[in-house]
Amino acid sequence: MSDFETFVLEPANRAAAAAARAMADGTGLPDRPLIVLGGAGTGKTELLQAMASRLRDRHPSAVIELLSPDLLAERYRGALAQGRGDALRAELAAADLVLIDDLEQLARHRECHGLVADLLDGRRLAGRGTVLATAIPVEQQSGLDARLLRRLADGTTVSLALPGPAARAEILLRRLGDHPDALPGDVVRALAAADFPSMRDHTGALSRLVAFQEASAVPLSPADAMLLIGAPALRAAPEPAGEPAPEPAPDPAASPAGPEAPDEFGAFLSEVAATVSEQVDRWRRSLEEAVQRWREAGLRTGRLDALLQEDLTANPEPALEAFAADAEELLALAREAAVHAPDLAGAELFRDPDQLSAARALCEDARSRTGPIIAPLTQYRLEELAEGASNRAALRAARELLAETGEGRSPLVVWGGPGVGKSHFLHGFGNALAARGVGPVACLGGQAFVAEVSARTDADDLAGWRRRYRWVGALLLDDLHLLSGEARAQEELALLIEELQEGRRPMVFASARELAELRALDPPLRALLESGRTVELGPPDREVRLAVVKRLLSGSAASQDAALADYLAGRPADSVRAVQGLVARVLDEAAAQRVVPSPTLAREVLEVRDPVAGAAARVSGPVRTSGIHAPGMGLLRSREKMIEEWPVLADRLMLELR
Amino acid sequence: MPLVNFTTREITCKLVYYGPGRCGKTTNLLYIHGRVPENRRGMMVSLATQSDRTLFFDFLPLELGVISGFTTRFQLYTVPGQVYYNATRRLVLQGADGVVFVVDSQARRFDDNLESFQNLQENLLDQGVDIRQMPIVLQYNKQDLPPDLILAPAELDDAFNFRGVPSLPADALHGSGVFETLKALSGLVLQRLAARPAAS
Repeated sequence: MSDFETFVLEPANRAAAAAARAMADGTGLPDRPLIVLGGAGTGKTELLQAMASRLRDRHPSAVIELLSPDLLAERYRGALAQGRGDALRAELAAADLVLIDDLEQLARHRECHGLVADLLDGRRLAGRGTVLATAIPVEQQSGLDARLLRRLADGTTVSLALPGPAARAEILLRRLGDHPDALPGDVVRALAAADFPSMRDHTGALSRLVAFQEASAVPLSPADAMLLIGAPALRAAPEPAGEPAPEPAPDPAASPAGPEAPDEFGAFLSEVAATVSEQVDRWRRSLEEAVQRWREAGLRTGRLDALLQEDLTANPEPALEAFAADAEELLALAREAAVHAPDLAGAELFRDPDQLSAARALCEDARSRTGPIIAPLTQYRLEELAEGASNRAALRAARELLAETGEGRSPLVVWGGPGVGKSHFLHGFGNALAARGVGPVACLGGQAFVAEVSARTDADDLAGWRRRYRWVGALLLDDLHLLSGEARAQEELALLIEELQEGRRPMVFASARELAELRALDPPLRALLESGRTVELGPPDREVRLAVVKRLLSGSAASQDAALADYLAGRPADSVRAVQGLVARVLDEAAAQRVVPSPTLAREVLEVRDPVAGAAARVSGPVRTSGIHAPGMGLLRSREKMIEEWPVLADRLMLELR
Repeated sequence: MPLVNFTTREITCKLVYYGPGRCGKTTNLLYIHGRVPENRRGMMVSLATQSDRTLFFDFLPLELGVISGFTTRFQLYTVPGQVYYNATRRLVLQGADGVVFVVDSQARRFDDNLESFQNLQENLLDQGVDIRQMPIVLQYNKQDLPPDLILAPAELDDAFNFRGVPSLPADALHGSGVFETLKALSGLVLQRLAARPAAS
């Protein structure tokens, strides 16, 4: 039986020998598997045997399991066939020392991967050592289950190198044991100096030489010995060209002991076990990965740990999804609470998803310290904003911001006259953000912003107000022009924009005037606003007007009257609000007369009864008209000629006689 | 019948051997029965006529023990192959998790095989099961007979295996291919463990 002395002879192996001895003595690190790494014939098996021998010498009653993967698989298969799979697990987990040789061969026994991974887990928890020997580093092992590889990666690896000639000579002499004279000393030394690839080759050659010497009366010389064993220098001679190398003779020791009736049921059971284990292990892996991920995020994973301890009685996917949802909410609450109340940053309550209710209450408490955020009005929807040439650029900019394509530059400044839909745009955009999970979305008017800043005269109060806005997911400010001349409000807004820009949170501002016209804006704020994108929301074009008119008529008896819709959309109006007014007047008149709204009625209301107002609207609006009143072709025909889209004389003209 | 019952931590698979009369379905089960340790097998129930034809069905329960925390059971059934027992076949087929279709490799039984295979598709369809969604393995039995009497696996594949399911040659009488067939079907069925919703 091997002992540790032979390993001590080779300086490079002393660390491995020391670690192995410590493990055998129970003074090592049983919470990590010990991986003995070394090439073929470097003495891995001997080291495992030495450990077993040492432990048995010290504790004769110790239970030691020295296993090869083949042996392990055979035992596992047999245990499964007898319904003792769990009993085998328990036996291996309870052994004083488990030694597994040739770990890389475990790849052939897929059904045992889960068993070994469980074994490592169980023994680690119980403080019992496990040693695995392999010729391949753990990270280069292929065909092993990922979970098992993770367990192995946690292990302590010690390396074994091929002994040098002096150590080899000493090992060979020890092999001769009680018959040191069986071979001349110079033959042993010559053999030790031979360049065999592994120690196993040296000991094999030693056995052959001893056998030859016993049969020969003449003492062997080193040269004869080298010829007899075909020392590497001789064996390395090139093969004759064109002649393939002979197949190695089968090793009788490696062949099966003899034909046996195959255990078909055992093999079947083994495959079934492997398939079931694979499924269950997949669940376990997903759990372990989730545990690791959330721990890295600083969260406690008690709920998931409990699932792992339960040995997986169910597909954990629903539990994982629920945990993820709770964890995400908890992290959001933690961020929000820290902004409202810095003293709550890092509070333990915000690290445990199982205490989500308490965390919600704590966050609510933090919110109450700084006041609520004004949210967008929910009745406005961006998708309900009628799209046309006049607002297409603004809507495209909004969609890019929503899609976070990188092209959507923030802040976005939208400007336009009264009633063109700026507020609708702003609130609708805010609701779209909220629907995408951005939160909270602050949406307030310039006047309210100025008032809030002006009301904060106390430094602490102002600091609280700042915290209130700096954690928002998005900032939408209407009536930006009302900040003109408000130095404090502008200063606070500039600070806020810088803060939100760092967090890449979207900001949209609406103004009744173009930025260039807002002369009372402080340069820093102006620069920040101009760093984003500025788009105009123009007066509604015919496409927009038609869409608005159709929507307004949709609830009336004239909902299908295309001529009426066309007529109303054709009326000059410089804002959506004006279009709404036109439609309302016609609908009101129809209601008063108890008739169905019609183009005739609309013309009577909008042209006959109020030609001055109509003319005034025409003059003030961007849609220019000729102002010529023409006699109608019927009783109530239009008396005006309209020329639309006439910026350049050459571009025109469309003349419509009504 | 649930495949996986997480509450009781049981996996139960119902596997049905289907095929024409005298193709070797019961022989498959008898061979398996003979190879399973006594403590792992239940009593094989076989209702046969005096002429040894299966009258109702064969049933062989297999206890595979606790695997990864689940008590695993396989229930092997055969159906009567004779044409006039279709009601019984439908009954046995209900809730099946997988089907072994046993083909009698004798050339003279080709039409019987074909008729039985079509019958399997019809009966599955009657139960709302698309055969393409059902784990199925083809076993070409009686491949030990003289070559001039039987069709080779490749020829049978051409005729029956147009969906490319696993197919195995077998000699159920002597056991060749019997466990291989069972392993192939078990693998298909068990691989669907994670895909199936958990039964409460």
